[in-house]
Amino acid sequence: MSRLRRFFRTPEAIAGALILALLVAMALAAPLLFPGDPQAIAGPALRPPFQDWSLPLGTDRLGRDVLAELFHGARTSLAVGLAAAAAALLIGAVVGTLAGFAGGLIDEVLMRITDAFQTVPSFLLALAFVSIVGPSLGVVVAAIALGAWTGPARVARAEVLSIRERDYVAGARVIGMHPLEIAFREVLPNALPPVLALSSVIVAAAILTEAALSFLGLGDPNRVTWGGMIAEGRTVLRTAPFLSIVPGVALVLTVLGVYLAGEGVVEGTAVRRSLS
Amino acid sequence: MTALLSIRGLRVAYRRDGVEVAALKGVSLEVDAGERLAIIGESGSGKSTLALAVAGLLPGSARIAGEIEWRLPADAGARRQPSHPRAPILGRDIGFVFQDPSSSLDPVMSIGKQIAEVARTHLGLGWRDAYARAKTLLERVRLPNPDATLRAYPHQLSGGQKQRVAIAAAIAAGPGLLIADEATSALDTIVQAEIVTLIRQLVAEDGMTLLFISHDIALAATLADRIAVLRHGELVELGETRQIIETPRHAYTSSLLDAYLGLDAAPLLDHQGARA
Amino acid sequence: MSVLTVSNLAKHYRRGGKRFAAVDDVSFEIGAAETLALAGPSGSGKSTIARVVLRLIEPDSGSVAFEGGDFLVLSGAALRARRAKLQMVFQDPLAAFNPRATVASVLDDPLRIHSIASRAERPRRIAVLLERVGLDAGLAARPIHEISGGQRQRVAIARAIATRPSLIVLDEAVSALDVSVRGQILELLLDLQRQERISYLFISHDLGVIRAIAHRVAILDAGRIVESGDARAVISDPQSAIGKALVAATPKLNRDPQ
Repeated sequence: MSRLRRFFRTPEAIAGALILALLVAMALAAPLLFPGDPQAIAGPALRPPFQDWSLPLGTDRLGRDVLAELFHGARTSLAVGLAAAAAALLIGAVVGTLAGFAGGLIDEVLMRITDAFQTVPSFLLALAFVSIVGPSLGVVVAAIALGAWTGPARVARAEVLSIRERDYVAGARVIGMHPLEIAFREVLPNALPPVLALSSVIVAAAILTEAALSFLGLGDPNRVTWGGMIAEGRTVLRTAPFLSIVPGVALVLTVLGVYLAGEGVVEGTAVRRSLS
Repeated sequence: MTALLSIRGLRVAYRRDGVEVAALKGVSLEVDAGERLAIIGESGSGKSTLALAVAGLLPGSARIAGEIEWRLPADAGARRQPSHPRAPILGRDIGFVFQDPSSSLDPVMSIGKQIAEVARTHLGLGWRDAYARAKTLLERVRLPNPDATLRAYPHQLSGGQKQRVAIAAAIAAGPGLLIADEATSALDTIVQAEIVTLIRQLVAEDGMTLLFISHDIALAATLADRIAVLRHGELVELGETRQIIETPRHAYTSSLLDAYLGLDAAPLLDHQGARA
Repeated sequence: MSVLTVSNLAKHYRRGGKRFAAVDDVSFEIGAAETLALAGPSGSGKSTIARVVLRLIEPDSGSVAFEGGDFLVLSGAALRARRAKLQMVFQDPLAAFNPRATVASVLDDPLRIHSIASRAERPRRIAVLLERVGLDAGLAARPIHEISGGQRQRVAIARAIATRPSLIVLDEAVSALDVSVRGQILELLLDLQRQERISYLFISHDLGVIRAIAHRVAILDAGRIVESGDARAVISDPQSAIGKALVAATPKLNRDPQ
């Protein structure tokens, strides 16, 4: 509980948490506030926002309710962003810890694999992956994680290499702890703070990558996404800019909220050392 | 005896995790020009805080109250009246030697450059003169091969050698006051004795005032004219070394002396009776 | 029968193309409930010997016999099981523990790993261990970084004795502690030695501490033992150059007898 209190100490963390809370609320409330298919026609096409209070943000080219699309889009963005980041962090942390702790041949092999994935631009990798396997939510998540896991892997490995030499790791060996237990119970949790510091960047990048994939038409076609909305608004950018601006602003605020909350997470997980 | 430094009612508190921790609770003492004063205390006594306060090295977030008054000798050829006291400049008027030479020396700068930099900054010397002075200083601190050492980097030297370099850098600009903050605590017995001998010699040669901070009262007694004993941020006893060691007036000082495990103390094995 | 017999131990390192000996043909023995101190300047090989004995690093040559059996030949699960009898206390009580640990988790680990007590029994065992080292049992829930240095070192000793070892290696175990606390920790160690019949390999550069706690001392210089014998005899009349230098360098209080 004291961790949560530490998390909420900085104004950044509070602001970030508020924005994320709003986002989560939007995502969860979407099917309640806007039951039915958000892609169904709700009114006349290209209705500007703030005119008709049953369509507060207006309608798009086909007459779909923009607000409903925004809320449902939040679900997709949030789900993909968090899932992809979690997958990337998990894979990266495990690979990095094994490489750093085992050393030798295992370290070499794992790092060369990491190099291979890192040299390919992550967006192109995601693009290629989705194009080959086919666009669906799970595939998009995997595609993003494929490019994003290398950063956490390197950071985790660097931390582990340093922690490995510390007295308490030697102490764990001396009391007879099994190497795998040492790696994952003693070393990894202490290697996490810098890895978690990447989390906000990865979530933000994941959300943006998902938006970009959808913008290019490679997102899940059955779901509403903010990227797709921005793409849809391109053709009428001069006459109805709000169609692209609204989801664009939502994206910016989300990334900002994720970043600020991420700062709070780093504060909360870092252990305070007493300086005697 | 003119007092170089007058400390009156010094209070220092640090802010940590939102809580204020008092490190010094009203310490008053005078340091005479040319004397060697040892400040003795255990962890939490505030001895390092006192040293940092005198040097002006406390973090910005520390709360300081009380007075530190200096009576510095006027610069040769100064246009200022001596009655206008100037504030001491760290490096120029005060030399500071830290406990851990591995972290007080810049690891990516050559030894020669680090010492020359002090001479350049505070004495206005050009690089050639500054390097010449650095070489002279390396000879004074008894480092072999001064030419090679000038070009060497800290990691190539042993702990004792690094501390000699730190001392050379501290006295490079000819300060009137040398503060050694646990300068020998990270060194083994033999090197510790060598460094203490070196400090004693340099202080005598240059007529510097010495503030020697330590937890080791016996070590301080070999070097200091007077000893000040701190406990929990308060000055417990202050007096001539002989008097403190032979007839301590305060119970805490007595307990420190009794707890000292010297070569003339009775071994604990006797207390336990039979050996194996 | 000796608890630990080290014979002709050697360990070399390469630095900048040059080979130098950190440990050079070192041999010694420690008997039951006996304390052997290793003294010497930094770089003399004391810590390297300690780490080899604990199998944290492997020697280049030589043998280590522990409780009659070849200790160097063990590996894997057999080595981990044997480690219960050979424990260590480090110099820095803060760095010796996982920063996220609590006192209870630190003491729980060895009990769990060596199946010394069932899960239900462990809290009581932990309380007993804490009391044995002079700590209040209520300290169990505290995070490690919140207790004092002296208390942490007591917890380190509690962890070391949890598995009823025959030998504990203490590497500068009191050097980082306040002067007033050192004596208490040394008294505790002597008390434990007497009651539990534990041997100590006590590494220190402080002759005063060695004189207080050790039966015998071996003085090291550049990886070799240059002098050894009864601790008080060697310290009061050292024969080797390094021994003399160490004694000369140790500060003396020279108090008038009260």
